[in-house]
Amino acid sequence: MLTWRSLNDRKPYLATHHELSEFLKSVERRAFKQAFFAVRNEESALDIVQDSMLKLAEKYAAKPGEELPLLFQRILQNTIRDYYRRQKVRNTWTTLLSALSPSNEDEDFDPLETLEAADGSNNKNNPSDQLARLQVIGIIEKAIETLPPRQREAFLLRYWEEMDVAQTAEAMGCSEGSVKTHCSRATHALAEVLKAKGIEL
Amino acid sequence: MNDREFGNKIKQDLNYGLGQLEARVSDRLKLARERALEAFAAHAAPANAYAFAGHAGQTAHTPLFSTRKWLPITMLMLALIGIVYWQQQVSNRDDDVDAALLSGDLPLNAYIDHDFHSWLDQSSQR
Repeated sequence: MLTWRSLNDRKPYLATHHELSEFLKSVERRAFKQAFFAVRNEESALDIVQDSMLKLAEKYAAKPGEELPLLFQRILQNTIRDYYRRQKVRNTWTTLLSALSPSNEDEDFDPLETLEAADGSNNKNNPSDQLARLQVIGIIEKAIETLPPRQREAFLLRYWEEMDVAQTAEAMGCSEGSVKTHCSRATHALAEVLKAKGIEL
Repeated sequence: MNDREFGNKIKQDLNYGLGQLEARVSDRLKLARERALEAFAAHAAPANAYAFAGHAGQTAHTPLFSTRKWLPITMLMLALIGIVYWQQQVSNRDDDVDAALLSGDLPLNAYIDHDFHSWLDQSSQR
């Protein structure tokens, strides 16, 4: 990673307002999806993205623009992990307190809901192809959601965010070796799921 | 198909899925971005000052009296006040005993005298 010391001999290029704006615009949808795959709740995912954007803007305003993608991914992954941690504490209390009342939470994650929403959006050219593709995407997304968190993180950073192994390792705070392991496990698990559903990529 | 090709295929599908995000999600994301840019504008001015790069953002903007700081300080103050009050109560009681001893008919040396204590015990038993 570039540091202030290593940049001493050339003028550091600080991120500008415009640069940050363009970067956030380019990354926000993927960031939302990443958070959504992890927490499976739209509101929480939006909160996570907003927190990450704010942290990036406040703490790293003095960083060069080229460091933004890696910094943002690191912040995003940490924010998701913080959410898990808080959720764990909250779950201990809710399971203690709500032992008497029946929980309906699982009904919120009906895979059909997303497919129905996609169905409702008006696509004029060749609706049946569109629908088929959206259904495949729905299945892929569900499969990604079911991956273990670290595998999902590694897979999405490597192939969706197009980071190399070293960058992924830094964003995840682990070794390059474990990035490779997580990544290949995720790829195989996904391929298995898609094969089982009869989907050819 | 190797891992990279597989990853690329998935990437294309995921990107296609991004286009299907609902308007309310896109609106919230836009709002979040605007807030972040406001925060950036507020922080960028001091942080871009060369000499403080990396430090200014952290020190200059922590509120002076955040709950996390003043709560323990208040607790400590209350505990200190409590201890001082209790000490005064105890020393007042001691003062009273001292005054009673000094103004009594009995000479002070009598209290240090072991024989006097044993005499008191014997005489009270009788």
